[in-house]
Amino acid sequence: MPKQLENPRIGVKEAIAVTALFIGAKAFLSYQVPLYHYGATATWMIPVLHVALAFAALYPLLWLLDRHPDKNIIQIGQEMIGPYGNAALSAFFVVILIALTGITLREFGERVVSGFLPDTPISMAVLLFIVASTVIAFLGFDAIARSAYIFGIAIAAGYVLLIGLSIPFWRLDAVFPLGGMGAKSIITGAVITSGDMVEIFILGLIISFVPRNAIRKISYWSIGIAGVLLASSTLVALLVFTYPVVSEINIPTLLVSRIINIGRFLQRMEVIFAPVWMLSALAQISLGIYLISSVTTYALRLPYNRPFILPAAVAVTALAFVPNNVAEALSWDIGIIRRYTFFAVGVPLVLLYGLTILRDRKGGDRAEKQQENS
Amino acid sequence: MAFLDAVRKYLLFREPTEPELLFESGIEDRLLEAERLLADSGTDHSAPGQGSRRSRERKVRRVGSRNVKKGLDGVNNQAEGNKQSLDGDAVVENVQGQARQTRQKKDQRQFEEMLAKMEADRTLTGILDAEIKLFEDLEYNQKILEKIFRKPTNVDPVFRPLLINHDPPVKALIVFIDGIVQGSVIISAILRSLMLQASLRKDDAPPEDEPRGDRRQPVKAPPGFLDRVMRALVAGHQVSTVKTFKEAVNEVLNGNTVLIIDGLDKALSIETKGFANRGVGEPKIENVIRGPHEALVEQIRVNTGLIRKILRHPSLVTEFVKVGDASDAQYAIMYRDDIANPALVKEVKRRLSSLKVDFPNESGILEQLIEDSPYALAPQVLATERPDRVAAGIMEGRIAILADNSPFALVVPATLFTMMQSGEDAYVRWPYGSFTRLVRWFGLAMALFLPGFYVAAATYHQEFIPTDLLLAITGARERVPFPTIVEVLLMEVAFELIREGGIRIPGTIGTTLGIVGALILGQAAVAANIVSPILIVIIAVTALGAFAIPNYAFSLNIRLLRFAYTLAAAVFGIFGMIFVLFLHVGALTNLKSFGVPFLAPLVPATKTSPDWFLRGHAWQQETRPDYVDPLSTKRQPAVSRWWSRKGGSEDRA
Amino acid sequence: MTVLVILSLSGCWNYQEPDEIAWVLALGLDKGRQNVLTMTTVVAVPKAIGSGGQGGNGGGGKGFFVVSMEVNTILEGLELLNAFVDRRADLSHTAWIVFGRALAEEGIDRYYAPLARFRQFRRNSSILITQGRAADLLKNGKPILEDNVSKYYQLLQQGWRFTEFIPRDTFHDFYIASKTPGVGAVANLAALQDKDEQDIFPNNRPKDKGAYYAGRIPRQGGGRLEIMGGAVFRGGKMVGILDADEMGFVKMVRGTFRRTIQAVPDPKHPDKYVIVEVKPRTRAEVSVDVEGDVPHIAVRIPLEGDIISIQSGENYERASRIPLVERSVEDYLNRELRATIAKTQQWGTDAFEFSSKAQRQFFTWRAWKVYDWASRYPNAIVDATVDFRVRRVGLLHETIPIRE
Repeated sequence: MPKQLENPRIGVKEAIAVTALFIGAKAFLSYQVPLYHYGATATWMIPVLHVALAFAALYPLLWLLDRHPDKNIIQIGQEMIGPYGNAALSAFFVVILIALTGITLREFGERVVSGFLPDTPISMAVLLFIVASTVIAFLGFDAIARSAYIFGIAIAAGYVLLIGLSIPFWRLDAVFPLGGMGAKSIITGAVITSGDMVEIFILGLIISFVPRNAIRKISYWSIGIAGVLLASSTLVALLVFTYPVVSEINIPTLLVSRIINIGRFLQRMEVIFAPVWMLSALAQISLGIYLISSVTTYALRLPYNRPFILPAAVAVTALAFVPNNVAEALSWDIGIIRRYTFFAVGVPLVLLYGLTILRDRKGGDRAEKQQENS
Repeated sequence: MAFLDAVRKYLLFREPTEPELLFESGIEDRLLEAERLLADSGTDHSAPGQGSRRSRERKVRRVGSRNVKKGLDGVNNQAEGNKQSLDGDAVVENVQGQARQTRQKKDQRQFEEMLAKMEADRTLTGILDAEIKLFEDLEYNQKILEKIFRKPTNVDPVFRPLLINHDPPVKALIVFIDGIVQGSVIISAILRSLMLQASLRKDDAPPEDEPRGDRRQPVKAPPGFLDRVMRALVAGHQVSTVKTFKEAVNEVLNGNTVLIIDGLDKALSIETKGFANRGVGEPKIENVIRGPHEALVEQIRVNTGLIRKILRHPSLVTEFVKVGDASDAQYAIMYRDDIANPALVKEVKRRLSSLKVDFPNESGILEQLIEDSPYALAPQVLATERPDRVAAGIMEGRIAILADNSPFALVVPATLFTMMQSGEDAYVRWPYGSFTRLVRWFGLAMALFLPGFYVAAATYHQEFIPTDLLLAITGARERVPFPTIVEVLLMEVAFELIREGGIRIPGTIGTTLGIVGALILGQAAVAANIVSPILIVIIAVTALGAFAIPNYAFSLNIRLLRFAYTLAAAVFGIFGMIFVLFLHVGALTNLKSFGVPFLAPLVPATKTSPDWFLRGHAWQQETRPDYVDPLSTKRQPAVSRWWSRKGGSEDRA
Repeated sequence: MTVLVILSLSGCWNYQEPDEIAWVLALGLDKGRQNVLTMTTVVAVPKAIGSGGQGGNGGGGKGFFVVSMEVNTILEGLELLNAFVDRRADLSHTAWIVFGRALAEEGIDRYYAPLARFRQFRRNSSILITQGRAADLLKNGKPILEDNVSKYYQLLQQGWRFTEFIPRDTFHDFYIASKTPGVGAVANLAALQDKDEQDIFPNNRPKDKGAYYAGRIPRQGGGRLEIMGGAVFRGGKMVGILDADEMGFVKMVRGTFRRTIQAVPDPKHPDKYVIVEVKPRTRAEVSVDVEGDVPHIAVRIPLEGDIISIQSGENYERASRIPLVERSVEDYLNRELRATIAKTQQWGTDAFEFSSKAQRQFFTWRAWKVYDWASRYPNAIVDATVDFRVRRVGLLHETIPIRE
């Protein structure tokens, strides 16, 4: 096996920032849109349920990683199901990552065009995103993570400002009736849209770049931060627009930023908040591209990942242009990617999980266990 | 085609090859160490080959100690020889009794113990504080002092052996630090009197104080000789007796000359202070209101003296480094031997000494030759003309590089945040310091983004501009024939011209003319309908913002980048600006200065005192920045204001 | 370099100089004469506004011009504007959308609601209903104090902060109210002062200032534009007018009321007035009981205020006599409040937004929808009370009667 180059190492805070942005950036897109149909006035519960689901899925993942020290999920697959099985597994992950990143790219591009630059062709907007993301992905994982940390601070500040300025527009009655569409509908909605949390599986890849023992801290914090972001954005849009109206808007955070004002002087402040979503999009897309190349590298057991970054960017861009219109992109996102992928990703992981349990049961690796204990 | 091929290869097949560094900031190591520590408690995953910081330190220590041991062997050999010669003397002389011999033995033992201790403790503070008396033997004293002053690496301290022209002659040694003494005083008051004129006066000397022996062979001085030297031979205007090494070191550091005479366990300190204080001018670009108003000058020895005047500590080392092949200009590096990371020192020396250049006569050229990424826009070395900033940098474990003929010292490693600091932040109370820093960051933001944001808002995002203002802007633009972006670029170029021209205009009219010129130009441009009046305000604020940046090189960098932001704003509005910002920050995160990430301690997040963004209390500055990996991170104890504790004044010890 | 920049800019899709855009500051819609709509746009003339300092006092309507055209839809009209205005028309600084009353009574939901989709349009512009035709209103509503007609519009609208005359509602509020089940949307009422008939009222019997509304203010002089009172909607159709006082009660219950001045008859001298400044003490307490067939609504509006004038010179400011004024104010306000609520019940539209409180009584949205508030509100039993406390009495303590 060719020697894998030593991975870039990033600190815990940077890892939390980049993971939280990867999971949470969709709060600035249309994440909330399908939820309102399931939750009505109680929609804010769905992100909370999503976080609970994410934690439920996180524990088996962490356990799996614990059983295989020094390995990420691709390498675990290599060990447990052999090269052919692992090729399929890696291909599956790559497809998921390309789909997630590509659709995100398209939606952010569409958002720029429909919200800000209506006369600009979508190709230029997408180009803007993909060029910046690819360059940063080229610079390496530490550049992605470090800039995600810096921009994470800016994004958090901007987001808090957005929430703060929207307070005069809150209608607290909007959370009543408290039960929304009822418990059954909310839980069904949370399960159906559970694909919104599919990004947590990247923790199994990121583990190669972070201090191994910090993975728990990173997972908890990043899911927590992303959960707060998702839940608060859902709730704020609900409070500002109230139930029946909120379900008709396309990009809730954009609409909230359009409505807030400071007196007569500052109105239509979406430009001020454009950096918030644009930076989060760039961080997410660059990480997506990097991870695609990284999965490929690990799967093929190659020494370094740079050769795959350009192909990854091309694949992502190509996918971004497949949908004919924004409605189609949205329906792909909501109807396909966000629906059930959580479980689709879960299947191979459960497989690995089961195989690992079997291996341990057999006790064939007593020696290894001893080694671990020593 | 070959170029394209190279690009293709770089993009597809090549890992970024970074030159091998002796020094890495150690942040990654610390992550590994944390991992290892936890792994120790649980299961051990980490490969044994990965060097934790501790093991690296150990390695450094080991290398160091090997050298020291080698040196020590030499010392021992010499001591051996000395002992023999002493023995010989004793036999020949045969005047002193058994007592003297036992004393010599005791001295020798103590000397060896001391050497061993000094080897173990690099800081030497314990040894100095122990109030060890001077030895009778000159050789021992010289060895110990050389060790204390880090001879021979440190070139500032001068050890000048001499013979007191007496009958018979007596061996002696004067110790002083070059650059902070008056050479003429040493020559006339010490050297000339002792070496030439000492033999002229011997009348009033009581016979027992006279050294006796062969007239050609130097002899050891009898105990009373010191008194005679002080009273009769040295022509210094202020002379005092020193008994311990600590006193001697302090006297030397304060610019006095210490005269040690063979055979005496005391020494004389002769007043020769001559800190460079003439010719030292005010800072030209790093002015402060509160704080010292001295700037470095073109003479390297004056500069070392200025810095040493601030940091009076024996472990402050000045090393001359040879740079380049052809030029024989002088270059020095200064660092605190007990703080700066040895690997960093080694890296700086390696970079400097390995240069193959013709004529690096200014630190500005040197900077370009030793920086990590020549293609990056941001300066990676802090150039400062303020000795107090250099001293502060040295106290944080950084290394100062001085070049003769350059009034700017280079402090490495530098980070973004050091570029945005000014000495004044620390000299005023913390709220004011923090406030001025915020103002400065605001200035930076204005200098970088304001013209771009104006272009973006005026031509893309008009809905954001308040209606009143928008109509005012529009109304003012009615007669202006150029597009907004051209207006902005015109005015920016005009202001850059004024700024550049202002430097060339001689003397005090320069600044006046600059301001007046700007006003007149602006007014005329508005009157001629070339630009709209609001733009003058925008450009003026931008220029002020750039001036608020304390570091000249960094300010230039911002001025350049501003054009990138402005043009990007003209193409894609705010999105173009964010695009540039993302690339800009991404490039900065990748930048390193002497192995230290440029954005430390923000990313990678590292431990440091509350000083990197806002200025904390002076008593909170407890640690040195972790990213330069100093040998001792602790700067001051958790309680600095000891007087505020009950009974604090008594048990300070 | 300049040439290069200009060349490169020709390829920039959205690059638009602010002086190449025609800023539409207000939109007016009426029933059309040759097409479905008569659309009126107020276009800013920045030259007259922005040349400030150089003596160009625009005032009196130089800062804008008004165009009316016959169109089918609003955005078509915007496009049509480009045929005769050299600059590209843009709605992003529109402060007002004005509907003629005739059109409003026919239904305007198809005109304003789709604007929410249009990116230029700002959601915090306001919706006005004018008594006559919007075209006349915009053409003749010239500011006197301002050069900038947009500032004029916005400041007029900001009167909600210190008067009871107009609702706070922006387009955003109006839009939400009209899409939320059971809520009655309220728009500002505007009108032109009628020049010909100054004799609106036949006699000089006392009339409360709150009984006026736009178009019905007897006055001479000043700008011709009036904005006072509210137009109440049900299902996108205007159903009635609230006068200034009635508008005040709606604002009190909704929680957007800030202050007003109220003249109430003196308890001892019925022909004279005690004038009090009224401010909200806390938010209105609304509790809704939805147990039975008919909802029971209990409203208590806690108010406080100062006595600012006593015409009769009675020493009501004595601590023992203050309750007299308080009762008098409460009686007066209670009467008006109940009448207003009855009015909205009659129109069948919940302009007071009681529904937002009723909503709390339900656990699921479905149950709330099934309850069908809109159909039950007209029959609701409303128990409304005002609770007024005098806090301060102004600068005088006790006045001495004027000598005979």
